[in-house]
Amino acid sequence: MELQEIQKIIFDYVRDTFEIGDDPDYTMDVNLFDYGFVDSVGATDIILFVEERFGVEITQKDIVKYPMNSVEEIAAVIAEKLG
Amino acid sequence: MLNSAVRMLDEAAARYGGRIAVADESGELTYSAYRAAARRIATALLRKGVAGRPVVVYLPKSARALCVFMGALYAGSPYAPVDAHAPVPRLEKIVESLRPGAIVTDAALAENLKGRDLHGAAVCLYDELAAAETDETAVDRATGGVIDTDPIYIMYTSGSTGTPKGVTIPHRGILDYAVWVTETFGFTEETVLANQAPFYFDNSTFDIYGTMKCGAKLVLTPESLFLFPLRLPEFLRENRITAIFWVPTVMINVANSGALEGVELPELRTVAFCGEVMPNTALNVWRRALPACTYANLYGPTEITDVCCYYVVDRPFADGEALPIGKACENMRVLILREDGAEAAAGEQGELCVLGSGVALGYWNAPDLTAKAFTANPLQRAYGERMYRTGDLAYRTAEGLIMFCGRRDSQIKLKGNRIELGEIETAAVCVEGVENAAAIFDSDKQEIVLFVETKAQLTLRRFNLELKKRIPSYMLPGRLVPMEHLPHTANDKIDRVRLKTML
Repeated sequence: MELQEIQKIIFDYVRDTFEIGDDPDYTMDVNLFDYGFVDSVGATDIILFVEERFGVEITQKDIVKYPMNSVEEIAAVIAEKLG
Repeated sequence: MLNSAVRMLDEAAARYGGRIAVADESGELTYSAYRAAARRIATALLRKGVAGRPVVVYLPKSARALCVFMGALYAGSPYAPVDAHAPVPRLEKIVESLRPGAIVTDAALAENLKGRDLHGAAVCLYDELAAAETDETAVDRATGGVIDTDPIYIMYTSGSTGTPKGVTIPHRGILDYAVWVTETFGFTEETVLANQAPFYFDNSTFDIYGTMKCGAKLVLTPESLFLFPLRLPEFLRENRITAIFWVPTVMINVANSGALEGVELPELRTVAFCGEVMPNTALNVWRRALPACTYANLYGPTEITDVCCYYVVDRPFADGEALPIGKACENMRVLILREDGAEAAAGEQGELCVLGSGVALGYWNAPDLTAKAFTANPLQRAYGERMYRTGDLAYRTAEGLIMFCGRRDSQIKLKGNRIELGEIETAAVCVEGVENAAAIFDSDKQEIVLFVETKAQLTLRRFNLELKKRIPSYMLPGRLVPMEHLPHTANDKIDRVRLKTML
C-alpha cells in the first residue's frame, strides 16, 4: 500500500471519528493532541483502528520509539511495518 | 544523622552501588554512577559561584535532570525544576521571583533563554557541567554546611494573580517523607517503580526519594505512553514494574482503554495515586483486574512535602461512593478547623490544616502570600506552632477517616494539575482584542470554559495558540464563549454565578 493511501485512510478516519469537519487547522502534520483534536481516549481508538484496518501491531516499544502525534507520523509507522 | 537529603544518595551508593538507580530512554545508571555524576556537577556549580543560591533545572525529564538535582544539593543549593515545555514568559516570571545562581539546561532549550533577562543567573549546559573533575573537598564542605531546615527544592505552582508561587520545601520534609514511603509500602532494593509525575510536580518526590532511600530502581516512563494508555500495562509487564504512583487521570484512561481486560501483571504490588479525586468506577476496574495489589489514595498539596494523608483501600467501594483520604501520615498532623478557628466535630465540614515536618518553609520571595497561608495553629496557645491552611474543605467520619470535599476558592484540579483560574484570565486579557475574561470550571465535563469579552471573531484553537505563549498547555480552556459584554454583579464584579448557569 502506498504511503499516501495510508495517510488518507487515517486522515479520513480521524476527521470522521472525532467530528473535525472542515476545520482549516486540521492537516496531515498538525499535532492532534496539542491542538485538542484527539485525547488519550481517542488515541486508543486510533490504535485499535490501525491494528484492525492494516493488520499491524503497535506495541509499547513502537510508541516509545516513534513520534505518533500527527496523521503523517502515524502513517509512517504503519508504512514501515507493512514494509 | 542526615543533614541533607542527598545523604540518602551517599548511603545508597555505599550499600547498593552496583544496582540500577534510574532507567530512562537513553539507558541505565547505577547508584555509584549517579552519585559520581552529581558530584561532578556540584563541583562545576560551585566553580560557577552558585554559593547556596537556587539552581533552576530546565531540562526534559531524564536521568540527567536527576543528576543535576543531586548536584545542586551536593553544592549546598536547592533546585527548582521547571517544565521544559513551559512558555518562556512564564519561565521569566519564575526566574524573576527566584533569582537563581544558575540555570542548567541543554543546547536546544538554551536557545529559548537568549536575549532574556535572567537577573544575572549563569546559563550552564549539562554536558559542560558533567565533564568537570570532582573536587571532593569542596563538595564535602558545601554539603556539610547544609542543615535540614534549609530548602531542598522550590516548585512553582499556579498563582491566582498570574504570577506562579514558589513553594519552598525543607530537606527534613523529604528525609522524613522518604522513610514514610518505604515503610508504608514495604519498598526494598528489589522494588521497581515506574514514574509518571513530571519533575516540576511534587508527586515525583515519592518516586525519586522513595526509591533512593532503599536502593530501588526508578524507571522514567516515556511521556508518549501516557498519550497512548492502551499500551501502558504492556510497558509495566516488560519492565517488571512492582510499584506505580500515578495521577488518577492516567489510571482512568488506562481503565477506559480496556487495556486491563485479562491483563497479567504478577510483579505489580503497589498502586498508589494522588493529585485529584479518584473515582471508584475506574478504581474498581483496576481492583477487579489486579486484585493482588495494594491500592492507596494519597492526599497533599504542593505546600506539604508531597503527601500528608493516606488511605490504604481495605474494603470494596461502590462505584458512586467517595474514597476517604484517610488519616495523617506518621509525624504529620491534620486539623479540620471551622471558620471560627475551633476544631470541627465529626461529620462537620471545615478547612483542612496541616502541621509537621513536611510543611513548606513558605513561598519563595513572597512574604505576604506566605503569611496568609502559613499561620500559627489557633489551638496551640502555649507556643507558636506553624500550620499550613490548605484551602481544601474536609470532614472526619465517626471512624476518624478524613473525607475530602473540594475547594473553598477558585483553585481547581484538572487531570491532576493544580490551576488557579485567575492565572488563565490574566493570560487571556493579554491576547489582542480581548477586553475581559472569566474562566469557569465545568466540573461535569471536567473542562475549563473561558468567557471572553471581545468584538473579534475568535475560535478556540487559534485563541489557545495565543494563550500557549503565556500559560502551560494543561491550563488551556476546552471551550471558548465570546460575548459582547460579560455579566456584572451590582458591585461591578464579573457575575460568576450567572456565568455558571450558562455552562
